[in-house]
Amino acid sequence: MIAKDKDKQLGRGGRRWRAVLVWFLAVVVLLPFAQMIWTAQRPREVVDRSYRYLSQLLPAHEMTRHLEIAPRPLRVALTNSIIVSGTCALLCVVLGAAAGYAFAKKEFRGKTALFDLVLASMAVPPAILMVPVFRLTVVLHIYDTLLALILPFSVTGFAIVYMRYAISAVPDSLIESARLDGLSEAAALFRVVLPSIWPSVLTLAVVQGIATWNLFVLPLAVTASQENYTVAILLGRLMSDFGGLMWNDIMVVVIAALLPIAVVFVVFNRWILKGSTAIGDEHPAGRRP
Amino acid sequence: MAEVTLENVTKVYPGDVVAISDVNLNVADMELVVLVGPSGCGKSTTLRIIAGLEQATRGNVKIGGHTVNQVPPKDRDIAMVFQNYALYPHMTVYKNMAFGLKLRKYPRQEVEKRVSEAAALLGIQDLLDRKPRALSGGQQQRVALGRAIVRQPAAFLFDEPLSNLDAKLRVEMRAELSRLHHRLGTTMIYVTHDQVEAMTLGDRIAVMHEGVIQQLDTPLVLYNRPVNRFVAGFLGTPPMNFLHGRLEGGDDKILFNEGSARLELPRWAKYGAEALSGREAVFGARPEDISIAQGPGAMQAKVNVVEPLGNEMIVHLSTQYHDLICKAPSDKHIAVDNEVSLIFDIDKTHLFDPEAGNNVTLTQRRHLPE
Ligand SMILES: Nc1ncnc2c1ncn2[C@@H]1O[C@H](COP(=O)(O)OP(=O)(O)O)[C@@H](O)[C@H]1O
Ligand SMILES: [Mg+2]
Repeated sequence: MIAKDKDKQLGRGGRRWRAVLVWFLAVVVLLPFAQMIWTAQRPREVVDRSYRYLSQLLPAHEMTRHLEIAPRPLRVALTNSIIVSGTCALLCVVLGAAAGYAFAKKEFRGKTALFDLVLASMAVPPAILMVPVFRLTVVLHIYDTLLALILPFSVTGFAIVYMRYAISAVPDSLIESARLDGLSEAAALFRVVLPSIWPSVLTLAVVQGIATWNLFVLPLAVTASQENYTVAILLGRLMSDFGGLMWNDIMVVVIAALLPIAVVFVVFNRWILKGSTAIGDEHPAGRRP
Repeated sequence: MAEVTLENVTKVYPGDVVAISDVNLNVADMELVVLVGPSGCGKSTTLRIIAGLEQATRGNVKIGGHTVNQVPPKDRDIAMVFQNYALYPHMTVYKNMAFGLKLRKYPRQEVEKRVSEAAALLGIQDLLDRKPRALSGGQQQRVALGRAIVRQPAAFLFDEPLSNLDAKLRVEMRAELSRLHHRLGTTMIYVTHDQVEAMTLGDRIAVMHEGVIQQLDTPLVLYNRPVNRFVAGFLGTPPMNFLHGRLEGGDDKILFNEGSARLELPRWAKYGAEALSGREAVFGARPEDISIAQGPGAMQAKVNVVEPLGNEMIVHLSTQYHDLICKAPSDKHIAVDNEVSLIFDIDKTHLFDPEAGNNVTLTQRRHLPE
């Protein structure tokens, strides 16, 4: 309503200028992506000759050829990334929910101090953790395995804080109803509490999955062999290991890194918005007494 | 179906909050007992201890003759209905009602049969495929009732189930609950802060105050023979009038001196004078037991406000020392600011100890209506 009223106030000329501005901004934002796709489709010589052959604009088969040249490292890295991000997303939800539930619904000694600690952990830059995490993976004999990529990120401060506030909105009586209906406390958490706030749960899973997907510094510290590269590490290696920078190969990997995220966003967009606004809202099961 | 018994139950929450102390309650099989009292008096705590959602600090809980202190909530064979309904928002109405049965591994036909029977009983057959958010408050409350009914528990526990409904729906659902109780014949314990709900629903009522059951009896006994000032003032709208004063006179005649007037009291007041520590006393009279006289009366008062309700009037009065409320027939002409004289239905009035608050003459007055 308010937006429409403003529309009227702007008048015809104003609306036109606004449209021009919006399109201009959109082009500015999308330009790097366009260049990325464009470069990825070029054969190396073409790129090196600074895109001189305009006649070769958008030949899609070139991109597939690049994928064929170095398909294995990329395929392995993609698989690793999907396994690692998916598992981390799942674990963040499960462990974050368990911890968040305790913070939201239970009283125990040192609760406030412990929660402050969790909050503080969110402020620690990952780079600082490089050495300790590396040492830990060595001690646990999981250095250079996928487990080393998963374990350190299986729960985050953010997941705990987020789940605490999401679960706080769930009325106690809902949990008590579930317990009277015959569920254990843990079963009530996973079969009633989490489904009742599933937009928030989904949002957390997506956010954590993407965060893990984009991790670079810490995974770099705990992997050595190409077998265990994630897409982000592969990208990093491509940009440093090989003699010259092969921008076309790099852009293919960049696309491989971005595409899944874009798909996830498009698919879950609706619910993610719901989940990020649901916190602080009234829980569907009603006000707390 | 079963009786529910609390024996000397005390609950102390962390931080030394004594929520209820030494509660004794015996709810007979098929009986509906209402726990009523102001907010924070320990009603919910009592109910939750029966349900097993809270552990008693001391005392015993028995359901059907068995001590259930150590039995987890799901095995106590009770069903509970909450003020906010607590329906599972991600399940349909059918699944909400069937959930408890499925967890108890009932065969599918039995689950379907029970759910459809309960739905028919509550008139919610058409809502079975809906999600709770697509229901009105009244419909949600019916589903919550249905979820309890399908379990066919030994006892139903209700915690202020009607408080979130609007006034009209509340009256409707009250009648419906009464009907359900007669129909199902199951033991019910019902918590409310609303004394009208308590009076209309309860076979017996337990009036609670500050964690203690003040009196447990049938609605009319509570109304006519309140054991103390709290019970007397809690039940009835407008509430009972309390006048502070002194007892005067001797063996032949007892007078209550309000300050501006003296009321002559019947013979039972003599025992009151003996029971009281000093001669100070609190005199209690319900609004309907005070009337405005045509001629001379026992006390003079000024009319402050007149509230016509259609069927009757509520009249706010004041003497030099006290404010009073009385009821009058709606055809009576009463002008604000006028002086009127009052007559008391003296045999229905009470004397309370000003400190302890107990009704000092109750035991001497078998003739009081029950
Ligand atoms: N979990 C709790 N921890 C501490 N105190 C509580 C808790 N639950 C209730 N109380 C206190 O116990 C008293 C009784 O509460 P409650 O049984 O909920 O009263 P009611 O249902 O009659 O309003 C109140 O003073 C309340 O503050
Ligand atoms: Mg309560």
